[in-house]
Amino acid sequence: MEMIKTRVFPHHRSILKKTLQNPCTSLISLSYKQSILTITRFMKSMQYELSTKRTTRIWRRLSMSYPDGNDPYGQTHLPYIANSNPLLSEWREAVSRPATPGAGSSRITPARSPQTKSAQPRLSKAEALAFVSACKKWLVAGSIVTFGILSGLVAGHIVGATSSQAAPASNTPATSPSSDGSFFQQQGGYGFGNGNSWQPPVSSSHVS
Amino acid sequence: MALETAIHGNHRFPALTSPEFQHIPSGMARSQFSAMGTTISLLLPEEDLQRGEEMVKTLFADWEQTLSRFLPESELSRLNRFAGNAVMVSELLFTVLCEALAAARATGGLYDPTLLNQLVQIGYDRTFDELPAALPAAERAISPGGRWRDVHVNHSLRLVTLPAGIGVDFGGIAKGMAVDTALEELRLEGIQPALVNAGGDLAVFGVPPREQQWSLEIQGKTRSWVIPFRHGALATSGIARRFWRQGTRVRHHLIDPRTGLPAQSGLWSVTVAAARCEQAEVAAKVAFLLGVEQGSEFLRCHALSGLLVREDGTWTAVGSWPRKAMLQSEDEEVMG
Repeated sequence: MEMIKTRVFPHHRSILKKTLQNPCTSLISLSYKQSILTITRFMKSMQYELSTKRTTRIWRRLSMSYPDGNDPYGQTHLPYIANSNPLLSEWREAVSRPATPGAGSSRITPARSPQTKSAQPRLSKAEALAFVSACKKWLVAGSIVTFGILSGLVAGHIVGATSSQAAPASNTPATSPSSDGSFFQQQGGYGFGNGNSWQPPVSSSHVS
Repeated sequence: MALETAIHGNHRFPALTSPEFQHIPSGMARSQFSAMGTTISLLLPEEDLQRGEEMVKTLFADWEQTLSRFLPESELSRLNRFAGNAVMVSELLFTVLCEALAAARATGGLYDPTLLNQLVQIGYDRTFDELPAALPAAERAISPGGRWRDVHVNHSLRLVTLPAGIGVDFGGIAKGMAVDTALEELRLEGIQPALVNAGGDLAVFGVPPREQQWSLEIQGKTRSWVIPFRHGALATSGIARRFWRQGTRVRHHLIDPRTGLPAQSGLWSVTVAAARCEQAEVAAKVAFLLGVEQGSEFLRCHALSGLLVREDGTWTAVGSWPRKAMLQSEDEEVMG
């Protein structure tokens, strides 16, 4: 955050310091769009009359800054490149619009602060030990359950004798498995012909 | 005993017309190839022969690769190796297995797809072509079948769990289902009339041009007959071909699950007509195991027709089997 401060607002450190203390300006935790809106409101509330060009420059630097300070190129000042981001255009319009009366009195509503977490009272040693003990119990119970499941699978020993890929069409039997008692159901039936005229055989049924 | 006579080489096999010398209806053509340990023969319209043959060849090759117990890398062989565990299988294997279990239920267990161990114990542990005529005696007592009841299938996940130590051998039902499927595919492709014959298990669709029926030869023990057939399927089970000697005993491949041993029913072969080839195949096997009386009753109960040939060569026809055509066929032979 220090890096952002030095890069983005070199001329308004005091304002930025306040801003950074306000969790609403936590650009890291907010989403891209939320960050833009937050900055817009912040600018209005502080009644900055920034020109479009100036704002663009700030935005450019902001968007090119590395929030964690790990700039792999060690650059602090990057050349200006016109940004075609539609969100930026929206933001430009919003910023260049004349400030509405009373806008100066509007305050940023603080979002839920992650710092409130740290404000909570620390657990006493006894409580911490109790908590760790409970965690251990759950860990042991979970391990036993997991072990039981794995043992069950091993005991069942489900073996894939074949790949689970779909069988080719020629591998599919014409008949679906018969239900109980229907194996000899003569659907379609069979029929003998007329035995009046003898003809030489075309095929034969025999023991194989 | 007739089988003993046959194994000593004194038996004269019935005159079965070789496919290449069989009549071909006008406008049709024949094609044949080897698959599933037997010869597949097709009769299709001339203009569709090549297309139809390709389709059927592919189908039988796929089915053999998946369902053969003689191929160590087939899916069925892998399933058998994992007996005792839940195994996820392909749609083909799952459907055939479920159909085999349905057949077992429908026959009260007389058709049993879990007799692989019994077959291996009596020496049928390789393809019949590789099987020597004589094998050493069995070392262990052979247990009866019935373990198909312990096979668990999960339809939603296509999981199969065979009982530990049990193997599946589909026998003829897989061949019958392949014939039915091939005929259905030909029909869907608009190839008709069609006849698909897988080593004697056959099914027809439509009738040849300018003819009213298919003339089909049925093999008996000492002779054969020609019968007219219009639609449906025919399958024959018997002991005419697959038999061998194990020690001092003559063995054949039709195991009676009640004993775990080759059936001794006094029959030589049974041919059954049904709507589908898989039904005909299962019914023929069951009728063979039951013998003439009970076998005939079984066929009648299921509205099936059949021809039961005894070991002495006499025969009994059941249901609407064309007796008249058979007698006429015998007369033709006498006249000839």
